[in-house]
Amino acid sequence: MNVPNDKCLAAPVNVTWEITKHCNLSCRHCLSAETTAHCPTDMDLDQCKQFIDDLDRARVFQVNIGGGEPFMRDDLLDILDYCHAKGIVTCVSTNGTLIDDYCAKKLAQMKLIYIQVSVDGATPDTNDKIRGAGVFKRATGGIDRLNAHGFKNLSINTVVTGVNFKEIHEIYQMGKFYRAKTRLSRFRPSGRAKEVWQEYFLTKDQILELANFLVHYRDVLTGDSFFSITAGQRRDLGLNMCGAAKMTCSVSPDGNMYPCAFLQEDKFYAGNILRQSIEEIWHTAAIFNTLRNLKVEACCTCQNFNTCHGGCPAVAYFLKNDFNCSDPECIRQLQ
Amino acid sequence: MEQVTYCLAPALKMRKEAFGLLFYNTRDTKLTFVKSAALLDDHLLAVEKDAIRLVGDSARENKKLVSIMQELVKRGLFLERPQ
Repeated sequence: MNVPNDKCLAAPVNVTWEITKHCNLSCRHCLSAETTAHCPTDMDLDQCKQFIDDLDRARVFQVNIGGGEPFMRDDLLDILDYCHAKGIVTCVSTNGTLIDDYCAKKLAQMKLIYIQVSVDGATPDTNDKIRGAGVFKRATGGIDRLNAHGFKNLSINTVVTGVNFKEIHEIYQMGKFYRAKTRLSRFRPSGRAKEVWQEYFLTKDQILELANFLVHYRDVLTGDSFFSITAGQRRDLGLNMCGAAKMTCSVSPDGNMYPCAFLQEDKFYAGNILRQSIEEIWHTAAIFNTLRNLKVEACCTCQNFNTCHGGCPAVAYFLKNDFNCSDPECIRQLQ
Repeated sequence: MEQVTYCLAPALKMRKEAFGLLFYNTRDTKLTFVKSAALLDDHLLAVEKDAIRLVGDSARENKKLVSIMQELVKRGLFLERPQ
């Protein structure tokens, strides 16, 4: 067993693993600014297995696999099988376009897997403005194939932006139609998204309306927390506070570790899992300890402080160049 | 020497933490935090990957610990395995 430390968990509960930088799409708001070119820095299968062994030793429960597009890797199914053989749950975030019948059948046979397919609009017109021409049809084709083979743990993930905001009710209905859970994710100015922030960000009124929507549609998942719109009613849905360096961390395709997928810049570098164990990085990285001890001064007197702790540090950092300020989209400040 | 073993319920995973035990349900990914210093006493119990063993005379000596374990059984986190 790991040696417990009273300042943090013995290991992350889950790790976000961007398993490749390679992607067949070029979505305008991609958090990782991925590339369609060959990616020589991606870890090979042996290195991936060594990392999974390390996750198993550290007793990490879950790996969220993203990218890039994970299914660009020919060995993804082998990697998933290796995780599951260790009892590690996987959650694969995919654009769905590469899920053919063979792949869907294999995925449906796996027991410890969740899949979320990214669709950023309820209509081809809206989705394809963001994700590229013809992508809506290809993504929903992948969803159809997963359903045809009886895949159970499916969600459709939408990053809520000013472009698709008007369709959130239809997006919710689309989830019902495809027998999938609806997952709404927060748009953050990270990676390529910085370039379209001014075009895509939600207005104050839209944020307030979205908060109201989430309060009423309790079955909507929020993969990354809408800290700004966390209301008491949603506390039991796990929207309490930022989990970066406390419950989770992120690994990039070359093995670099960061607090979260939205903080993958040199200044947030914590270590490299090809050279250090995940436990060593988890317990010793300076940036992790900084985030664990972060107490946003501007929020300390807020009555909600104990449930949100100042919101998303990544949004605060990218919009205000400072961790030590409240989430700029905090609903209490917007009201 | 009396020994009692509590096996993790199906689909659950468990980890020892500074506050007590952390459980993860693979069927819904939900976490359960059990905060209890009593669960950290290495002299009275051994926390393994998928089970907890009460060791020595702990059942007699530490009624609180047994009570906690029985509560965790009631909550569906463990199955009691008689020796």
